[in-house]
Amino acid sequence: LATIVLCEDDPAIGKLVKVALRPTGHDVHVAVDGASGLELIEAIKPDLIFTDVAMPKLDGLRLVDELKRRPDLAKIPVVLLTASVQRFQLEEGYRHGVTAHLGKPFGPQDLVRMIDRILGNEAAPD
Amino acid sequence: MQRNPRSLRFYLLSATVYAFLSFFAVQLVYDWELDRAGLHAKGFQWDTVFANTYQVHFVSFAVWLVIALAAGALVHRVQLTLAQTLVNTQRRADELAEIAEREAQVNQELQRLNQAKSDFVSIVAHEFRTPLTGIQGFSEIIRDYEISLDEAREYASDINNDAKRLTRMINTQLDLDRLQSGRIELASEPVQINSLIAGVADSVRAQAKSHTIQLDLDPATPVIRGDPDRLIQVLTNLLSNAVNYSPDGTTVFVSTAAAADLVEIRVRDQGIGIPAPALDRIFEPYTRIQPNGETTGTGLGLPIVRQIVTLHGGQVWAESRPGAGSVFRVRLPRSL
Repeated sequence: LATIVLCEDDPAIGKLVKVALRPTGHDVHVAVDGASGLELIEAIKPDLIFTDVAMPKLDGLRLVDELKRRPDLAKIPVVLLTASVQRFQLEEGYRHGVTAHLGKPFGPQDLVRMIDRILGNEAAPD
Repeated sequence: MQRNPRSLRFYLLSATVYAFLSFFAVQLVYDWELDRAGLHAKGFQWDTVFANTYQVHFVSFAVWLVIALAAGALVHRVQLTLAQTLVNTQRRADELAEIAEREAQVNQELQRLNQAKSDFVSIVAHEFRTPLTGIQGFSEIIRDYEISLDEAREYASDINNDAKRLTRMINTQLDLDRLQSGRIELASEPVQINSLIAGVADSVRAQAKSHTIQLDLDPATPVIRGDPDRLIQVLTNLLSNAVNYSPDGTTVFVSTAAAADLVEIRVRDQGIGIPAPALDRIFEPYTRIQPNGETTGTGLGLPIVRQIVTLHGGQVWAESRPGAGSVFRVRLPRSL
């Protein structure tokens, strides 16, 4: 079971992710903006981070930049949850070093599959 | 040839010039003839020969003169035609250049509008994806997960909220579009601003029990001309924003002040304030700058407020010091 941090300012989506992942048993923590998300990540060092892009205080990509600057947090995989699904917008995300993206709207299956793919990959021997 | 005095004078002048030129041409021809005949060597000079010839052959000189005049007339006419053609060509070229320039401007404007339209479509699509996520996600949970009836009801209500939010976004967007394109005309009726504010404050109070709304209305506020329904929309938006963006237990102050030819309405809150760079941006569609834990907003409230106030010939702007709340100020002229 994994510890997951979700940074998302829309409470409806925060609730959706929590409810969607309840059966998997993963431990989901939600932050409502980038700055409190960063604090949460520093505090609990999760296995995986989901983050929205457009957020108050610290947007998703700035958050990723912050994470990449810190050796203890740089290796945590980050998945962008984004409504900006145009190619150039996604490419910008990958340039900042995100691991994967999930375009909005997404369903619970997409979330579960994404977690399995990323954490499964990490567990797989090199 | 045009029959005007100036043209006639010009014709006579040019004909005379050609006649004299012909005269000297005749001299040259004589000179050349003398030379060819080897008569120069024998002391003959063109003028003496010509003088003789002139006397003897007066008729032939008259013929020269007529030919010269005719040639002058012809050249003059050709000149006139050429000049006219040149002027026409230049004028036509100017016209074409002007048309081309206008077309380029229209094209540029169309391109700008087209770009604005695509930007707009992609912004709207982007905005719609958030409520759609709730709708898709919770409906799949109800379909695929083992959940209780109560949970199903709760998620259905989440779906319902997001669907309503989408509807609100569409309606508000259409409303803003109608206001911006001038497809609806504002009513122009006498409006008593103070009583309008009192009414709006009552209905906002009913939904925001955790905030105090305090009115300080200048009794000298005159009756203005405007659209009462649209002004209610402006006030409702500003008052609900003030409530939504300030903590529970705080007060929203609404005041009016009358000046010579305008009325000013101020809505002040005790919220977290607006950073200076965002003060004008908040009047653009889909700009959200601070968390408020509230997802019912359409992102179009303030753009609509500004549009309505502008259509009334007024101004609206925000002033704020972060941490010390914000003031929204609306100025309306007395008559529309």
